[in-house]
Amino acid sequence: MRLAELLPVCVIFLLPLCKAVSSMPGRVLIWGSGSSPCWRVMIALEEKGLQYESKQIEFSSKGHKTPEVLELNPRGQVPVLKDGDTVVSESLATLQYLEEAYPEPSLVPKGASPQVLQRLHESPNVQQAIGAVFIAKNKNEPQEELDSKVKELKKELGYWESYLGSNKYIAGAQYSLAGAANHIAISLRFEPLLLCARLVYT
Amino acid sequence: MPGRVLIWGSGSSPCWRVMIALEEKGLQYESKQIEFSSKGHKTPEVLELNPRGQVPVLKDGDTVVSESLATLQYLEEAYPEPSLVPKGASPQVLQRLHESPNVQQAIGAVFIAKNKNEPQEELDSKVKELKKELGYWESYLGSNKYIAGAQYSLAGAANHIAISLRFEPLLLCARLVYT
Repeated sequence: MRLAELLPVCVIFLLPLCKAVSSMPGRVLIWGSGSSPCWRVMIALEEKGLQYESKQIEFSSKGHKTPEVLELNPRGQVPVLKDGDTVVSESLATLQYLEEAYPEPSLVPKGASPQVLQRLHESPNVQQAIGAVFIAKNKNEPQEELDSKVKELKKELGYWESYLGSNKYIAGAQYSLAGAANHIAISLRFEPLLLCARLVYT
Repeated sequence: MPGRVLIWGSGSSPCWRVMIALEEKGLQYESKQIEFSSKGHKTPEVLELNPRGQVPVLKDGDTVVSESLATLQYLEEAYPEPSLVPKGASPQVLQRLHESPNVQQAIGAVFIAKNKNEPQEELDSKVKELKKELGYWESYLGSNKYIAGAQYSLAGAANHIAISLRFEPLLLCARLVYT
């Protein structure tokens, strides 16, 4: 993937260090550090200029399984967005909800809607392929197993390269929901992934 | 129907999702069934439309869409009547739509474990996870007639098929799970 596209996401690493944006009664995001689905929603909120109260939980202390979270999402998963009376889980659903509820600025380029929808639904493939490589490494799987996972990741990234083509962004000439959904999966664990991408793409 | 073609394969619940939506919206289409066993989903014709070599693929005029859930949403946008998204239920429908792969995966895990003749405790574990997953959907249904409130919706179409996959053994499975 293009390095230039990864750089803006450095901002996301700074977000937890900033003071939470001024409390906006009625819009609350519950999220956990290191979760790319959470980053997807944060990117969309930022791109749309929407203020929200940031509630960070700690996975290590099962902060995602508290009664407060379970009441909003029985699956005990984050991100969870509470927007007035609306509660949405599933990051991709939340991206789409935000697009419907706050159409400006739009993250769906004109005429590109089916393509954006499709890329959105394809994005878990990226997350899974990247995750599979790291899981194999962490489990110290045999080299041929690791090679096989890297090969699948290379194949997956190949689809996205072909989607990019000569475009600047994944769904044509404008940053879109599909960009937000994938930006984060690609950026997860930035440094080792860059290394991984270099290994994959030589 | 010149211009609207659905490429699909038998036994694929994602394909059924799109077929249900097309039928619910009263949209005519040319049906092109491929055979998975002879790699009909990996032909140049399919790969040209979907480089992943997966079905369903819908060609609607100049628009080509893969990913069944994306296709459901595309159809809702392009052909808003009759609507499959109840008024005021849009975030909920979107969320259920994105949750539906959990159902498909939980059901699939049980059947894979059975087909691989996994040890009983492994099978029990998968059935337990399926029971937990179905429990979420039971709570979503509550006293409603349909998953996203009082009207059949995209979320219904997406899950109807996952639940119906391999109907007979699944009914048995569901009975085992829900006693």
